[in-house]
Amino acid sequence: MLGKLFKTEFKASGRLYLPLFIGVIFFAVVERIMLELETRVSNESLVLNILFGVITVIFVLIIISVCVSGQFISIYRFYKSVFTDEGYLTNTLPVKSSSIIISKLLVGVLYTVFSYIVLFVSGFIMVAGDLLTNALNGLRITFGIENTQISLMDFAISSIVNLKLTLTILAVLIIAALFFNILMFYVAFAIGNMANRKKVLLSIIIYIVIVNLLSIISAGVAMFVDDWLTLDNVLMVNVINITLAIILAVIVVIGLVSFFVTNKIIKSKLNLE
Amino acid sequence: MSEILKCTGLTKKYGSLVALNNLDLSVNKGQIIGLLGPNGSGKTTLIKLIAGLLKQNSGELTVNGEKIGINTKKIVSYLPERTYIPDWMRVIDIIKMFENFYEDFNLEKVKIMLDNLGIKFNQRIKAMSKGTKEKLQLILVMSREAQLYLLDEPIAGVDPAARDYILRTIITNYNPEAAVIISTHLIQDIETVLDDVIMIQNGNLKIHKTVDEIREESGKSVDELFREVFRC
Repeated sequence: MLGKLFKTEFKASGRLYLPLFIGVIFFAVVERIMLELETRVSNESLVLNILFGVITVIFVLIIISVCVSGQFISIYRFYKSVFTDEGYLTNTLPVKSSSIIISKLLVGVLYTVFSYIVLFVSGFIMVAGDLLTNALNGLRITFGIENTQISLMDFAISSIVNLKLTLTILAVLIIAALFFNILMFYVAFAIGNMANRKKVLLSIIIYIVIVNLLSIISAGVAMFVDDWLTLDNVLMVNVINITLAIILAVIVVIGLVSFFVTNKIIKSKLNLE
Repeated sequence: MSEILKCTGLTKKYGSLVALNNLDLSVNKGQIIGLLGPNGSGKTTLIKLIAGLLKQNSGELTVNGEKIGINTKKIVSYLPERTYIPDWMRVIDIIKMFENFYEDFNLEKVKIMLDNLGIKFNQRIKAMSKGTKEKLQLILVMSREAQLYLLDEPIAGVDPAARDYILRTIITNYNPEAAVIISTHLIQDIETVLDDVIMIQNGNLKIHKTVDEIREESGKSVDELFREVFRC
């Protein structure tokens, strides 16, 4: 049933994401054409300049909406299909509540990753070719790599011996954070739904409270690590790795707790009035 | 006759408001039951508890001997009092969804009923009137070979012609292994199809009798009895 739920959610969310993705790519191509025109035709053309300005504003707006939408659409879909009228359909399906949550979570994370890929591609469209070469040259000169013959990578490797491990933890951390962010909203909306009125407002307040509590916890962890840094026998590299690992562990534990709380509420405390 | 639904001491509260108060109820297979009561009497709450959209504060509730969960959702076909089909879908999308998730879904039945009521497969839900949406939902719900049908106000929003068709559908779908619970205010319209009547008031069970018993004992129709019991 998880597969069927995933497929249904993938389609339902896709209809919201797809126009944004197409918009970003389309406007990236238009922007690129405009850039080429500007450099080749004339800088004096007022019409061309205004048009370029308008398109740039639209493009920036779409980029911002894609950045925000990754999580927002996932949260909206979860709220809409579980706690509003659509919930009458979702919650009477003969499926486990955990399957409903997992399917929506996976689709949410997947589309967030898609939106980053689309942003990357649109960026590439904008600067590919001469522009990209120039930008890379600029970077090289700025960092003085050509003169000193020290590459950024060499520098990194020399200072962080165990780079591979650090990058691995970092990669897992980024993926975990994608799940974690969405789960924080899910649990807030699940708790908010237990109230008899003003459920959405309450859900948002709960979310803000959770995020603030987590900031306090993170500050605590940071202080703990900071104390630790003063110990002479701990290598810099280990400190970075261990810090990342602690953050990862905290995210995983809180994420799992949020998942179980959300599931428990939908399973045993559902309150569709 | 075997029991399909059983409530024992079922209580549901919304804050301090008691929606269902210590309700004891039993429904057998093969019956069509009218769930009647004034506004706010607890009819929808009872139906939602059976469908699994609410959880009781106390008491026992079983369908076919099982607590509400995946197994009961497999055999309960529920028509809510509101439209729940996502607006962006077409008729075919929601049919596919029902076919995917419900093993007891009968595609042939859907095709016949959609045809009879003039609803097309590629019609958009967004462009439908409220009445057409209600008809579509009822078609979907009645197209399942379920063991317990929960119909919350199934005929309130549709025209009299469709009302007749819907009631005919409910009767012709009669299955000795299934029970139908219909909640409505339009008692006269459904009186002829009912076997049993359950009347609740302020969350308490007021009457649970067969239609024949009501007629014999009181000499009144169900509609007349309702007006007498719940006189304002």
